[in-house]
Amino acid sequence: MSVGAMSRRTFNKWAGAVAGTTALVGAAGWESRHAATPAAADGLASADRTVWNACIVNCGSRCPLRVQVKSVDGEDRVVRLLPDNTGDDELMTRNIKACVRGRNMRERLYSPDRIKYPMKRKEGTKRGDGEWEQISWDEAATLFAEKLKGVYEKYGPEAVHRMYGSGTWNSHINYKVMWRLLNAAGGQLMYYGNYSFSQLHTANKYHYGEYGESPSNSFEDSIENSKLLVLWGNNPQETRMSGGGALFTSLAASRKEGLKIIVIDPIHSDTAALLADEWIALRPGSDAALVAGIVHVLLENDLHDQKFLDKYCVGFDEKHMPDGVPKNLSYRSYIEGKGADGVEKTPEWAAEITGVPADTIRELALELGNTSPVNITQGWGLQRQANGEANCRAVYTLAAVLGQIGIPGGGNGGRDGYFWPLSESLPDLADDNTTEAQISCFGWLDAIQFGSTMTETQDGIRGVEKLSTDLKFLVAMGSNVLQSQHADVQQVREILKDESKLEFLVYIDNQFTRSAEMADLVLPDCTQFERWDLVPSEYTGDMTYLLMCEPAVEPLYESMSGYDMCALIADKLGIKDKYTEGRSLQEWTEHLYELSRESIPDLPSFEEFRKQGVHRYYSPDGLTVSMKDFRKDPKANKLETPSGLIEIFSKDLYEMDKTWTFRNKRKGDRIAALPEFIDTWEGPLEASAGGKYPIQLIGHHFKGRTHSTYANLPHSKALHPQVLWINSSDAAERGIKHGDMVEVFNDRGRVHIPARVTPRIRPGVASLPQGAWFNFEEKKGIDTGGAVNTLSSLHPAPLAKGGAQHTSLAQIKKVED
Amino acid sequence: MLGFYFDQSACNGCKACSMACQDKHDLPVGVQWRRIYEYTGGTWSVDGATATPNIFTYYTSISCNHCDNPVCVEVCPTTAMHRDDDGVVSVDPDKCIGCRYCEWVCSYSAPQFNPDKGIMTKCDLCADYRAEGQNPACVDACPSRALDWGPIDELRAQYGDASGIAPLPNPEVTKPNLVITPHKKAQSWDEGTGSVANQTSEM
Amino acid sequence: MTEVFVHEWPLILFTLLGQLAVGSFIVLGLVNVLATPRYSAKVVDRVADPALYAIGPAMVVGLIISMLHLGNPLNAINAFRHLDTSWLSREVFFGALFAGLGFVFAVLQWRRWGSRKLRQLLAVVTALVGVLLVISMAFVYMRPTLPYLNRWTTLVGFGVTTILLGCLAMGVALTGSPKVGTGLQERLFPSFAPLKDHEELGVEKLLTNTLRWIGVTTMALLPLQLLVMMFAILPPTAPDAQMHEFSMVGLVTRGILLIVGAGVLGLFLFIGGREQASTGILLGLVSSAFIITIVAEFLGRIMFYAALVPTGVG
Ligand SMILES: Nc1nc2c(c(=O)[nH]1)N[C@H]1C(S)=C(S)[C@@H](COP(=O)(O)OP(=O)(O)OC[C@H]3O[C@@H](n4cnc5c(=O)[nH]c(N)nc54)[C@H](O)[C@@H]3O)O[C@H]1N2
Ligand SMILES: Nc1nc2c(c(=O)[nH]1)N[C@H]1C(S)=C(S)[C@@H](COP(=O)(O)OP(=O)(O)OC[C@H]3O[C@@H](n4cnc5c(=O)[nH]c(N)nc54)[C@H](O)[C@@H]3O)O[C@H]1N2
Ligand code: SF4
Ligand code: SF4
Ligand code: SF4
Ligand code: SF4
Ligand code: SF4
Ligand SMILES: [Mo]
Repeated sequence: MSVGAMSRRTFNKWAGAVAGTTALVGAAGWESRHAATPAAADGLASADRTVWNACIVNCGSRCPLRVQVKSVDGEDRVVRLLPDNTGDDELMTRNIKACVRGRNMRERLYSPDRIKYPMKRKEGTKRGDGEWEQISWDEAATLFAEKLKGVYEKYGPEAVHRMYGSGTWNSHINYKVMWRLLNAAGGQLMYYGNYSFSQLHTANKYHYGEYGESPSNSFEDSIENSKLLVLWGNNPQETRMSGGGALFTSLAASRKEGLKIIVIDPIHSDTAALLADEWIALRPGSDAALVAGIVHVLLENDLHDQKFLDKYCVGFDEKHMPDGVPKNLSYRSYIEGKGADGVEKTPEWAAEITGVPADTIRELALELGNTSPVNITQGWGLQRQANGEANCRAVYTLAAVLGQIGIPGGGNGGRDGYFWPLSESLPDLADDNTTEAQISCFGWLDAIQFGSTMTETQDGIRGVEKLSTDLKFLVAMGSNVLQSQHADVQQVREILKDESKLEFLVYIDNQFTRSAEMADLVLPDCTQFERWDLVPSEYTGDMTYLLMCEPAVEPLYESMSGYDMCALIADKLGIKDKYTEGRSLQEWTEHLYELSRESIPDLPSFEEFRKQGVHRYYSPDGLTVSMKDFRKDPKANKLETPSGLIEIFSKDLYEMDKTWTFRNKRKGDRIAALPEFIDTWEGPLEASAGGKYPIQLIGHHFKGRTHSTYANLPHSKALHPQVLWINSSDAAERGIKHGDMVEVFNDRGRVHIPARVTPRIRPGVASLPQGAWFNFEEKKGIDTGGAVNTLSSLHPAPLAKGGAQHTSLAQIKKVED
Repeated sequence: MLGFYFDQSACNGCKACSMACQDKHDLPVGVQWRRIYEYTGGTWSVDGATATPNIFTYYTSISCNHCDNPVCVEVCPTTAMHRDDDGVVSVDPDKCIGCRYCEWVCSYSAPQFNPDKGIMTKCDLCADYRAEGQNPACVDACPSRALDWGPIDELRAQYGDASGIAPLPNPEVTKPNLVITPHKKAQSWDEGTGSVANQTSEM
Repeated sequence: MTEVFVHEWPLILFTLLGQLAVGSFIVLGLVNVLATPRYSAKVVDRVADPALYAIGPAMVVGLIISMLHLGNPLNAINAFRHLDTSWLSREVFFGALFAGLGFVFAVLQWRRWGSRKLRQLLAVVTALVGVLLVISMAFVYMRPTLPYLNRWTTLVGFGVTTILLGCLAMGVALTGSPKVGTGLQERLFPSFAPLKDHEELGVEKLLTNTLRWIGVTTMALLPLQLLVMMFAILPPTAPDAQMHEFSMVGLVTRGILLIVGAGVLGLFLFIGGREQASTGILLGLVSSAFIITIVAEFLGRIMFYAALVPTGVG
């Protein structure tokens, strides 16, 4: 059914009909008395104006905020934030209510941590010493331009890198301004993948044929069509917290009569607590073993979809293997113990690794095998592991074994599906880039240390076989990766201090983070409340939208929008016209808006949109059913894999395993052609062997902050303080009580943080939710901020070369006071 | 009499409601007119390498219930804590001496002392918003649509009359104008086997 | 525990000092009433008057300290506004009334204004107000939402503390105050008017007798207070009562101190009084008993406030 072409009114009717048929409105309990926010929700009566802006952090959602401004002592001040008042409580026209973080944007705007003016590292001090000199914007832009030119001349564009940073993720303008500048100026070393799903991003290429993700069916589709919804390491109640996003749709799914929800996660997440009918608590990093155990039961009971496997997949059994590979390399052989390891993957075998009782695995398998349609959706926790590539492919494989791919109510085992926005962003001038070279997003630190030795088959360099130079000029913009979000922050600190390696580090943010401390030049971007932008929705299921971002107040202090500062630098580089094309930031906003109107139905005029703030639109194809064309006709709609089919056994990977080598090879470093369980460094088996560090430490994404953003704000910290999650029995063994100060430590670092003693996490597993600001007490060698990356490892995953920060072993003890 | 509706079966403990209230009322850090309690209990059975959980968790978002038997009003020595005709209980800042007696006796932690002002403060059900035909800030904020408000008769007619859910107290004592749709694992006030799991600093 | 002290010290001191003042007044009144038939008015006044002047300051200090607990003391006058339902309002009212009446009584007694009958009547009224004050204090905490405190133990405990502290404080004051006035004191205070020899003997006798009775009283109250302590730590029946900070060490320490202060020393005081021991020894005994007991009750009061935990999520 085509909904894209309908007017909003008709669509509402349609949405109502969907809701009606599935009893979403009635029994689902959305018959709210107050019928959503009254349109008259004008907030503070004495406000001078209310403008549309948004929260644009990388949280997997995106929310409009109505910003109320009032003149206080002759100066415009943001005095209050209001939630979205468009839309309603219906599934497909839902109101996009901001979460606890966005609601605190005012405190971020006025935070004392704001970077107030351009600063350069004081002459004569060393990087990281923390002594600064205030400089003018003109000096700052000149310095940037000169250093950049110098590096281009001496080393070429491969020495220049704008590192991963998601502070304004996907905003149509701010996110793009630095790519555009560096491409226009002479090019840059790019990266592939992202910190979110590196392993999945690359593994996906070999399984489903594309770099990136292949999302599953949407939750909306599950509400309409599924009998069973599996949230595999997927925690939408905490990682998709917008009232317009998957928080809402997953909650609606839990209210759908006849739709069972199973959560598979080492933590009793809020999703498990609120939505799950059943919670399977496995050990982190053991997912491929759980899948193998399940498939064993399915085969035993003939509950696998042989027809689907035969027609759409290669590598499941010996009859469907690519040419030129030896026998017994199929997945079925692996399960039946006919492969190289000779071990049958019984539920008992899986139980030892996963920590889930064999009977539970059997029941789970029978339930999966006997129910249809089933949508298995996976989060990214399981792929953020040292064996992440295989873990995520294992879940994909399970979807195939169940034959659920491409049908309404089913799914392909990827993350819950969505309709990706169609709106236009600032062109990044990628065609002007003079190098094709790419490193893994996680590889910048390696490129600083030994870039010129990095190759395709050892370091996953793409675009070229080998890098020509070390990395010399690094820009971190909207990125707190340097000293918060990358692994092993203390190690990173030491490497960055070596000025003979990295020559110039520019940091651009609006908060003076720990990363800023490591820079040579610090530039104050303003916040989105102080500039124009356009912002698309993200991962919000089948309701897609565009948001207006209009400045509410002038940039505070001497801060300047990223666009304007890049234009200033472009001027110093002599490429101003090329950069701006004669447009101001506001003019770009209007221009991009006009371009977006060509692809998005019913977008009103720009002036109208400034008043309206939000525009919802929908896929013309209706609810997301992933790979439905492939299912319909796999010949006409081939996947981009060598076989055109789903590759449960990848011959490419099989070949790569023979040629690839590894730096500082650790256990588990190999490239697996099958989605098999790989026993890795600091994995579940090493943990249960009970050595020096017996606790598997993960750092789940936490509702109190988006990574490190909002993490410095007192109101946010008071509501969601940083604590270590530790199971009651592990705590009791160590004499730790709820609220006690504990030390979490391994060979990489030590953290002091209060313990949250709870049954909500598996015994043997602890979580230090990621994103807390690192607070290193140099003398004691202790981080009192509670940053999990004090403890995580720099060792990348074997194929994707992405961070495996959820793989980490540690020990915990009480801090005696 | 006005009151709140809280859908516990929709609440994930995000605390957007509390943050929205703090933003609207410019509350200092730590003064939370709306608070969210995590209630957790249950055990694990461990058998060799495997472990099976049998645990539960649910959240409760609470501000002031504008009780029919407001013990806070009864004990207040100054009459600063008072109840209006519509049932809304609030503090008259000109009368309050900040003795914190209301805070002691309220089983819902609704009265919140503001150390900057030296007086008690609390939810007034967003009196100014109501006067203008707007919803209270917390109600409009909830991403999960777990909150509602209105005349308690209407709320009860629509949502039933449960309010004695652990860790909340026996509702017979203060007679809160609160209606809860319980979480599927909710326990009644007198049979709770869990405990409030929020970190002490967290409230 | 320390946290409770840090937060609630004004109230801990106020309730203790208030109860001490009320107890002292009652004890002093009893001494007056019981001694009058057997001793001359002059003897009684010589013993009792100096102690009387110690009570006022205790009460006033208590009231002032209690103000420190207020976030906004400037509005304190509002505290009388809710006498019809608020026990705190009543407490403040009776506290002020007690201090006021006590002050008036002290002035009348000092200037010997009004008839003795009238003054005695005023003393009785003041003592009754004092009793109402202690009852109000107890009911402030005996609220249905405070399950650990909403029990008979609060009322009885406060009452026992009142008499215990009153007895020992008055013991100290009676024994410690000068029995022979200086010239200035003789001129300022009528009770220091020179006494005849047999009257001086009477003073000695009244003193030792009083201390004997004080010893008896503290010994008699000891088991009652221990009983109160035992019952107060029992978990309340309300299923929604929350856990609170409880210190076994604190409880045991208090018990031991009480046994020593009110029991052992009370016994010595009784014997010393009967044997008409020297004033120096008696003063030593009664002061030790007083200090030990007040430390015990101080500890007890900290634990009392630690139990001020409402039901539910309060
Ligand atoms: N151990 C561990 N580490 C992890 C993860 C994990 O699960 N475990 N997760 C990883 C994942 S998935 C990701 S996506 C990364 C995220 O890592 P980052 O992309 O570094 O995300 P943030 O920490 O939010 O940092 C964003 C920065 O942008 C800044 N910012 C916000 N708004 C603006 C703006 O308007 N302009 C500018 N210039 N700056 C702005 C913020 O102040 C903040 O400093 O972390 C990764 N790190
Ligand atoms: N509130 C909030 N929301 C966010 C973010 C944030 O920082 N804060 N970050 C956003 C970003 S950029 C991203 S990429 C996403 C991240 O989204 P995810 O990567 O999906 O988030 P995680 O919390 O790392 O993992 C999800 C769940 O997987 C579990 N898990 C961890 N390891 C394993 C494992 O080995 N196996 C299984 N089965 N489960 C495991 C965790 O306990 C957690 O509950 O979240 C986005 N949303
Ligand atoms: S953090 Fe995400 S969910 Fe929360 S307000 Fe911002 S965009 Fe919305
Ligand atoms: S919830 Fe507490 S403060 Fe509110 S009316 Fe009831 S007793 Fe009073
Ligand atoms: S703090 Fe204020 S409102 Fe509360 S009881 Fe005291 S005077 Fe009344
Ligand atoms: S009704 Fe208003 S004052 Fe009360 S909790 Fe909600 S937002 Fe706060
Ligand atoms: S905003 Fe809604 S879901 Fe979040 S804590 Fe409050 S009531 Fe619960
Ligand atoms: Mo991410």
